[in-house]
Amino acid sequence: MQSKLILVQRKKEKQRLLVLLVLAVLLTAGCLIFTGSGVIKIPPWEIARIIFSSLTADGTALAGLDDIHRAVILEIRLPRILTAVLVGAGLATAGAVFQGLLMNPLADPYTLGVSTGAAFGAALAIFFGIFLPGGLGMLTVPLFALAGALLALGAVYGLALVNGTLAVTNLILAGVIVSAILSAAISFLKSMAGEGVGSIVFWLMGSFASRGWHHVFLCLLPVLAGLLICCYYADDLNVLSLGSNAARQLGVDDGKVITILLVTCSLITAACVSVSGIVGFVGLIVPHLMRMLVGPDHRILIPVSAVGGALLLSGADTIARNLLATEIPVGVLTTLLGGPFFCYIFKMRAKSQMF
Amino acid sequence: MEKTVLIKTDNLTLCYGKHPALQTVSLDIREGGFYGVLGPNGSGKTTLINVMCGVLKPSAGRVFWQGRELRFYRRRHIARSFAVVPQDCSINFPFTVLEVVMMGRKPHLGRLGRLTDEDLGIVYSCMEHCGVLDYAEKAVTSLSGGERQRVILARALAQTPQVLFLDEATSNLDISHKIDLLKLIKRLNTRQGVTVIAALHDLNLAGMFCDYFIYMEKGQVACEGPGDLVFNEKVIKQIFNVQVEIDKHPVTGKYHLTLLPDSG
Repeated sequence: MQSKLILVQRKKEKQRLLVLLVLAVLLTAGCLIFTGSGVIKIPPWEIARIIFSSLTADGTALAGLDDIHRAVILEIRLPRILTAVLVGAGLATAGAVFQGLLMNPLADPYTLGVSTGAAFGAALAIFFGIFLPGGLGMLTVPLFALAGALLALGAVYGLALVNGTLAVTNLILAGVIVSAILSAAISFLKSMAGEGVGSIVFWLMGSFASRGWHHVFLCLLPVLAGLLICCYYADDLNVLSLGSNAARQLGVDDGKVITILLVTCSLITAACVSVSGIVGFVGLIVPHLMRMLVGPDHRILIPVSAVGGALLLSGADTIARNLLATEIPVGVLTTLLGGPFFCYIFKMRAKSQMF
Repeated sequence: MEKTVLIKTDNLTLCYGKHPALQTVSLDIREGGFYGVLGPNGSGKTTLINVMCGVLKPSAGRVFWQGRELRFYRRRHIARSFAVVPQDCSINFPFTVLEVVMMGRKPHLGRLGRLTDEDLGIVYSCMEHCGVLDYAEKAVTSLSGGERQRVILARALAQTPQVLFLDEATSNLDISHKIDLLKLIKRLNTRQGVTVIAALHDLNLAGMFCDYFIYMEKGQVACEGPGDLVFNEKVIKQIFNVQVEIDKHPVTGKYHLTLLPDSG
């Protein structure tokens, strides 16, 4: 009997790793297919060769390939898709962690007002037509968004910190208040912007159009490092998702872990929003979908969510740029397609078991 | 004959704002005892348990664990010796019963929290003891209150603690589950020498299972000692303001308490 339990447990551990592996393979394959789709169709093996040759700086692998294809892949599509991959991974990771930490299935990366801060920063830069000097010109809006996100985050923490301790309910409340104030400020900027309102609104909707390598590099470090930190604390997060007292009784230094995870995930979110605008849905729904797939254990939920989010968002972005003659904002698309899909799954599950 | 003192509290005081929830509590908890913490609502039972097990920090005074101040231990270290079963065990996420009980091994594990076969063996026997093996793979969110309470007890036992704290852990259970749970804990107490400190509401249950009694009143220890000295009509009248009659069962040696309704 006892050995049966051990076998069952070991089998479950293997199955979870298998899910992660399958998703990772899907993501790799997906990226090759997504990169190849568009007005100029390029087969996946050709893309693989182009990427391989530029990684190894080996010109011979390119023999017989079109130079235009190479430019389209390396300069236009690949950075865009990689940005979507990173943002999808970052938002889904942050969403999974926020839901666990705040013990609230409605939480998402935007709950603490980070995104509204970013939006306000971006709106300011667009409204005043600011263009940073030096090589940073291309990154003006992302950097303003990042600064806005960090300021909002600081304000929320300042408000929520009472006598040196962070209470979860205070955090949510502070996030709502700071968000509301900043939303009003954004509306004010929009109403004053006249003709320029279009570009503010478009940024707010979220998009990966014309994202380049500088966008990839801006969010690469926060997302990857953040993901590693979250995985490192995933087992503590399991216990924390049962409540602070339970965590203390099981030997987790709750104050330290909560602070580290909240700051990490807020930084991930800030970096993501600064390059993509506000892409909804991914951070809320991907963790739910993945929890249905692998269960609530954060040690597997976090990496699986990251890969799932990356796959979903890069796929959605590919549809967004190819479906209609004009590009659809990707945030709109993820919610329009993913929302009903989630409703369907949720309903089917609710029928089969109480949850 | 005196057993060693495991936990010693020295003038513990804890204030919520200005309101003192505990005042100058000094106690010795000896190895292998089954302690009942009794007292009316708001008398500081839960606060006392939480301070003794290190979940709450006292505003003043000290807690010693095996002669060394508790605050100098790391939380992980404390959790290897102390386990707590709280009153409210609601869980928001659909962890399986097995996953929840496995969390009890966490203080003994490395960073990634992977359980060895030996850990899983301990988990198995704790689940067997608490009668939760049958629903090992069920989501803990789908269980009834009594089932969930037993799962949390199994988790606490999986910590292989020296001291088990029960914070009104049986309050939400029906009478047969209450007795089953306390019998199980009593067995651990007598056979494995686990020290038990239980805040209890039900005086009859306290009389059946506890060897020592700590009466709390307005955040202070009103009276404490072994049952023969302090589990009597006079003390209970003083603390709870109810008239009772207490008999000691001639065979089992357990106390039985009868409420005398008209004489209050």
